[in-house]
Amino acid sequence: MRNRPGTGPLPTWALEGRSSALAAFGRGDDAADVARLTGEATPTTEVLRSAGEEADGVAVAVLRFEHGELTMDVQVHSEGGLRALSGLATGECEHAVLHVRRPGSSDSLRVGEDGRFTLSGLARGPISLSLSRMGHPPVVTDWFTV
Amino acid sequence: MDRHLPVVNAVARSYGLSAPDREDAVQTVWLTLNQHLPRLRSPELLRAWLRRVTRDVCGRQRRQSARLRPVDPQSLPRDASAGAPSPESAYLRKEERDELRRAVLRLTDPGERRAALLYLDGNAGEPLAPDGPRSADGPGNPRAATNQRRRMLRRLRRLLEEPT
Repeated sequence: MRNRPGTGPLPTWALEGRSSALAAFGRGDDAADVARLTGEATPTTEVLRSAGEEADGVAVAVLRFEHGELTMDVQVHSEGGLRALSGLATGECEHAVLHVRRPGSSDSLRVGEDGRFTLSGLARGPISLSLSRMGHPPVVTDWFTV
Repeated sequence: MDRHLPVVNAVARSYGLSAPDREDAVQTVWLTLNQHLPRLRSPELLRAWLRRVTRDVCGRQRRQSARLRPVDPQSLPRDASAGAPSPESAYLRKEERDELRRAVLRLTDPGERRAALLYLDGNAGEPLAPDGPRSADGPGNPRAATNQRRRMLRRLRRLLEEPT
């Protein structure tokens, strides 16, 4: 019979990840607009020949985030044991700055004039992108895993 | 959070992810909840919302992992485009065809020219094509038609070999 909270001991796995879950909570995003994940495409099929190292450059996910007129297309690539992102922001995003948000850290880079951006050497795990534009509130993407 | 942690973990475990992938997925769920917390209006729907988000995140994680799983290429279904000509060979084939067409247009005999063009354009089923050019001995003489076709091919070959 399944234990309900407060009615009996829970298996150890049931409370796994409690500390990282607690660390996820903060109110820093409340003023930001959220670009929702609106599309997920299947990357082109590629075949790996070896069972050894993960092949570099294999696209593992193609995601689209949208908020109003702003669209962010993101492609996730494998890079050995790490991940790389390439993306395109379309909409009003001149002089935009992209903040790369990871649990417990943040980094930023300038988006190209054509809206393109690339990130490499990313450790695997959750990630969210935040786009700061002149005259607009920041737009944060839904969290996703690379 | 303590009340819902077992549900999120249980759904995540049902996806058969590796332990690191599962931990990433579960953390992504809580980060998503934090982001959407100001917009969640009905606490009684939180459990169902968490289940849905966990399924979405874990499903995506599983698809990503599957793309990096090594496979034997022989076990994959044959690629439908494998037998298709490459762009280079298609271009060379078109060049050959264009050159042949130019040579056909230089044939002096209108009958030969018409027959060769029909054959070149893939209308071999047309009445003229099986017999090649019309024979002076009439369409009913297959040997004469064969000889005439051979002569036409010889002329075509000469035209193709001429320096342009």
